[in-house]
Amino acid sequence: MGDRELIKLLKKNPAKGFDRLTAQYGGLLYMLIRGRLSLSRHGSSEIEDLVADTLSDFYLHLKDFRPERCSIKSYLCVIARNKATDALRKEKVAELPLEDAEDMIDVADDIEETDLREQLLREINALGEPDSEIIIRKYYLGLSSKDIAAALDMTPVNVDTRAHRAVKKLKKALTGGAQ
Amino acid sequence: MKKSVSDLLNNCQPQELDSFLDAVTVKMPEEADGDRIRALAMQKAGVSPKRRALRKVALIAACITVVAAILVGCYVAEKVEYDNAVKFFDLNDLDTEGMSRDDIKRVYRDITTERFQYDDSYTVLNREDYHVEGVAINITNNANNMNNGAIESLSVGQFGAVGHGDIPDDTLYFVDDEFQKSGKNVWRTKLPHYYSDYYIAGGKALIWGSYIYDEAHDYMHTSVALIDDKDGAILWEKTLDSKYHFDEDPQAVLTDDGRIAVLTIATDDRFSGENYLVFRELDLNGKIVKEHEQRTDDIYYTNLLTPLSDGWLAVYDKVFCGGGSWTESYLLKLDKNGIIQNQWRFSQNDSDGYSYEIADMIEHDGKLFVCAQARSNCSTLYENADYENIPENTDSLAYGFTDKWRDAARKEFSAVLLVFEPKDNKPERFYTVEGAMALTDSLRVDDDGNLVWQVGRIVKCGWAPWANSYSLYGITRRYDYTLDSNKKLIKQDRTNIFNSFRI
Repeated sequence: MGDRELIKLLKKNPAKGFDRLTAQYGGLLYMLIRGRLSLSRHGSSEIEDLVADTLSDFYLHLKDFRPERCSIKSYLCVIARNKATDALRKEKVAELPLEDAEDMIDVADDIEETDLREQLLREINALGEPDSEIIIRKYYLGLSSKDIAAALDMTPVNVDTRAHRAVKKLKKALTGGAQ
Repeated sequence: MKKSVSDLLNNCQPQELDSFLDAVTVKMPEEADGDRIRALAMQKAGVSPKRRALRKVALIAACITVVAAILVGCYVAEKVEYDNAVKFFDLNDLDTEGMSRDDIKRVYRDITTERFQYDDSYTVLNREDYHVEGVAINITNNANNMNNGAIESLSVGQFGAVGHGDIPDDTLYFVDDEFQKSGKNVWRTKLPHYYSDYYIAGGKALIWGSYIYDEAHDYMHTSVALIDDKDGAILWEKTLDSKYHFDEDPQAVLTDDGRIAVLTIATDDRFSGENYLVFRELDLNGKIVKEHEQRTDDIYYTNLLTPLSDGWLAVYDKVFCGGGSWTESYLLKLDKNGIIQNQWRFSQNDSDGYSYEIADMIEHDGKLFVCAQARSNCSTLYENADYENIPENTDSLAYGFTDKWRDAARKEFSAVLLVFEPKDNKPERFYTVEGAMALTDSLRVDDDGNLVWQVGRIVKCGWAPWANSYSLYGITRRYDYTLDSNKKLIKQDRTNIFNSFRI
């Protein structure tokens, strides 16, 4: 169901709209939040609560949502990501040390972040499928290699290898080959 | 400077990721309970899986329970206050005619605290002027800004007397792909498609909606159907033929003289294609008797459609892009053949920060009446929110109703009625009820030929921080204001009909 139809459905028949909304995006949001929280520490019910919060927030803010600006999917992802971040903050969980993370890129100090983001998205697009999707699933949605592999019909090792090479390409492109 | 790919992606605006996320689908994992998520989300959003009739009953029952609890629990205090109120009325020679015990106390409290929030108080203090204009409805400067000067271009021609249609006593329900009607004659009708809206007139229910006819591409066309309001029998159902992939977002109306008008937005490409406004008129047998399309790329959504003596009037939203995007609402005048004759803006934040949203409109007695919800920017409203001390109780979606929120909401929301005079095509008069919500289907003509305007006076309001940080919810009591042929207010009915709202 397209975004505009879904919005209409939510307005006219909220119960049915929530059925569709959950069916279409529930899995994505659950995995996105699970990727940021620890399943062993939070449990599936807490993650489900945050997914429900995300969907209800979207519904209650429906009037503010502008489908001409972005898709429902992207919008929900942002809300879900913020929910997960808030949950971590409430727990006062320390930020993960990122200095040595594989996806860390050394960029010039004077570059504007918006320019950097634009360039990054261009380069991810240039990676082509399935590498671009692997990058989005791994570094934006936070999915595990095992989950990505299952979705893309690959082995986890293959996913890791492709992700590693893709990040290498991105680093090279964003730093002009300095790394 | 080091940046991670994750951080950069997380800082992206949602629209930047649209193209990447488009192809990404993720199934619900086995460990997760999708039914629980859906039920919980609906609960947090205040959406009941039960039908609206049951919700309404539950709401009324809850109100009765709350009132009963207050009356029982505070009996002694209530009696003291009532006695004081009666003394106050006697002392000041105020008339209690037609007022209940509760009304008397409320007015007493309202006047002695100098809040003057209740229109009943205004009525009591101005009893002598009750039958003249402006007793309970103030004509404010805010309302005069409603058209922002765009009214100079108003050209809506001469109006004749055309009714708006019957206001149904019963309610038509959408249950999955079925309609169910409650009331004396209960009927339930299974439909092959999803329908999104309805209009009842002359003993028939017109329903309309758009549905996907091509699953592979999500192509959508519009269907309309006519139902016999006596027994729910489908008289006919028709998918409107279209040369476009998408012919959707329908608005329709059924007139008293048996004409059906349908407006749709059509395009082959929703994102970058040309958009067309398609007008169709059908007879009561479902046969298309008039059809006209015209390119209107800026029309995003039609919201209302009503018949005029010389054509049709629609409300539509226009989307502007560049440096962000925003939506403005317009009135659109079509001639009898559906050709656009004129359009004018009615909604834009005025100098006082009010915005307006049309809830209903009707042509009556040679004039056009437009009812709108006026809403301020709510800058003062959320000052009530104590964000620092939200109790961490996820079982409770709301703090409950409070006077503080009710009073704040009353300052921010007004129902507005605008009267257009056709001679010079300018709105001649405004009526504003402060502290009220505009209701849909709120304008009708009574048996005496007078215009009746229904307004929802805010009586309860609360804040639901766990449902949404900026969510207000509440209950309105319906007041009916009657205007005679001279557009003078001649009557105010305080009904016992309550509606809920959520913002």
